[in-house]
Amino acid sequence: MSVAGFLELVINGLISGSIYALIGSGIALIYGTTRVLNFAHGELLMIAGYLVFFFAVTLGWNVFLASLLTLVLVGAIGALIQRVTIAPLLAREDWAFRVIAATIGLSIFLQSGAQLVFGERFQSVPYFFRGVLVLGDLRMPWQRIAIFLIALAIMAVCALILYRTQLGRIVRATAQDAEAALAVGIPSGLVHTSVFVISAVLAGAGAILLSPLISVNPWMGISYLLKGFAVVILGGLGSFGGAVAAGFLLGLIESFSVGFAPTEWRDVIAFTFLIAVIWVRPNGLFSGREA
Amino acid sequence: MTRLTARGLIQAGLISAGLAAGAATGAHAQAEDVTIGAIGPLTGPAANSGEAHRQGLELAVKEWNEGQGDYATENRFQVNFVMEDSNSKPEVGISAAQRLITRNSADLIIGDTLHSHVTLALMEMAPQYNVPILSSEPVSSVIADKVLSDPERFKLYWKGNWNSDGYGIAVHDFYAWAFENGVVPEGDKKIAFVVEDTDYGIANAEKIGELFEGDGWTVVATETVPTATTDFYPQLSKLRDLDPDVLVSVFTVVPSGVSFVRQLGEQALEASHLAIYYPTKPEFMEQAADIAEGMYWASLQFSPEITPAHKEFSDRMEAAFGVPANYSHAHAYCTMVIALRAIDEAGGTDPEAVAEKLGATDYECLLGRFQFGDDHAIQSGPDFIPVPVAQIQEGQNQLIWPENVATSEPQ
Repeated sequence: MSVAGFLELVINGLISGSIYALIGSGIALIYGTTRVLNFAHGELLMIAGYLVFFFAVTLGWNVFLASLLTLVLVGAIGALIQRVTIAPLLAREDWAFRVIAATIGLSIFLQSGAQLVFGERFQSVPYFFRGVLVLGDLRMPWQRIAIFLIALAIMAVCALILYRTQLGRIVRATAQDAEAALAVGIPSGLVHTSVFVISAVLAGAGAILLSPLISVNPWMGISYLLKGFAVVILGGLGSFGGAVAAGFLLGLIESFSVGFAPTEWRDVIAFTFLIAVIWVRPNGLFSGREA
Repeated sequence: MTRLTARGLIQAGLISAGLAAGAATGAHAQAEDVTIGAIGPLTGPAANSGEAHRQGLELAVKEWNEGQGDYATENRFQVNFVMEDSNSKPEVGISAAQRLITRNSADLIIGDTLHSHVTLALMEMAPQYNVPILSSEPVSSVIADKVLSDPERFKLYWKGNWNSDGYGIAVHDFYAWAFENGVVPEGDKKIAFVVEDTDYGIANAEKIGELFEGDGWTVVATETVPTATTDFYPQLSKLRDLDPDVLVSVFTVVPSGVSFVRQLGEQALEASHLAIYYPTKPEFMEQAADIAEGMYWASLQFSPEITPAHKEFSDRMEAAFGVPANYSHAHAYCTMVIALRAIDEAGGTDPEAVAEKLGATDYECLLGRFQFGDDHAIQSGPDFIPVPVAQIQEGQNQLIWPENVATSEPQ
């Protein structure tokens, strides 16, 4: 394998990994704070995809403005989902399976709703960044480089919020013990909603970055949800930093497995690694560092 | 308690007789109705094709019921049509078939309309439930091999499209012609495939690879990716190092094709690229005409811009459903017409009689002459369903091979 080929494998792995990290960290954040596994997380990605398509393509707005409004709206939808679907169930004793059933149902409802409203046709969003970076034999479109850099920046901002702000301390306190947090005056319900908003915004950011590459369609969230869960398990259930690291790790494993074996082995290799990790470290690579 | 009177009894008798007569008339009309069920991907990434199939099938039924069909006999029957979703999954397709048979009493099933892997499961239902099954677009040769392995068991199953050999032979013969005429350089005789992980994709790659290997070529890579994949950078990085002379891609989902062609251009691979199936969809040209310039593809079987009969069909489709027709509409339409004519010729819905008439089909439809072979698959080739190769030139599709049907020279 040439040096350029090797570098491309690394870069491709980091790019795929950054998307897995964005999606996985959102799932991890919710699980770490509320112990809820949100099976409708992929549909937030889908909704954001349609929103950015509507604003940037149908209305022809500036991409930055379209993206900003998409993030605001998808955050609001995340809050709505938490308030209407999740919060009432959390008040019950045996909420764990009810929440799983409810979010799976919501996922199917949103997919079918999107097909009814937008049709089965895939919608194309043009590249936000044109051109290809050429360095010797290495070729990489600026759109892909931008995905990596922007995703990295978004996750850095999230990490700053979580670990360096009052809101982050409140979220982490609620994650450790919601009842104790409530006893000292932290409104855990509001914190849960805030976490859903942040998680939805992370999914929305992933959708905006991905939409020029994958086309917007009602089922676009399905495969990424599966990868998101894999990342959460690999990183340690509920660990934001673990999910980010595991996202990049999964992306690199996938990229290198394609580089050295037929593509049909990619998922076999990636998930064998996942099983091996669970076998050695049942709680994931970075367990114990919740939210 | 109400007393029964003679007058009351007579009235009751007359009413009963009237109801019985009405019921008899209804039963008679019911006996003349035929129910055809269909199974295709109405949800999921392939729903675009499934929806086109539904519209093509419905148009054929509509025309048949309204007296505008191409009837085989003077008999007339009305058709009830029900379509169920397979969601591109064999197990969902099987459940759908069971519903159509037990709930709707389907006399014949068209399915799967798109997927070979769903058809491989569905064809087992024909002997189990004694119902004729006719698949529509699936081409995998594995289906025909299965029929040949036990013809008696699959006597009620028929495959409404040709085998993967059709693509394989067309792609191989096109390149043989292109090398001979200096259209494409042979180079180091290395061929690579990027195909979707379905029986359709894999069967095509295997057949084409086999024919090229027979000419001394080497298959340097066969990359099978999940359906609806849109990130091909890891595969393309690898292929750039392998430096194939010919690259064949096979996808049924348009965004996969659009992404592949775009990323292929970004990676600047020098291989001659031939695409299978996805350019048949108008959305591909809408999204990729500029980036797919010069690309070869197979096969341009439906082209309203070139063939007047296709234009006329497309206009009918647009009048009925508000959308112009594509290859999937046309193929589904022809499949339904073949099914209806077989029932018509059989003079009823007896499964064996219908299957026998299906097997005897020799019918010119939009895409060519439909005739089944010994393996129960439609035959391909110049005398049957042609498999021509096209090239995208200045944003338009042009037929370039075989030379006798070419609308343009290769560029």
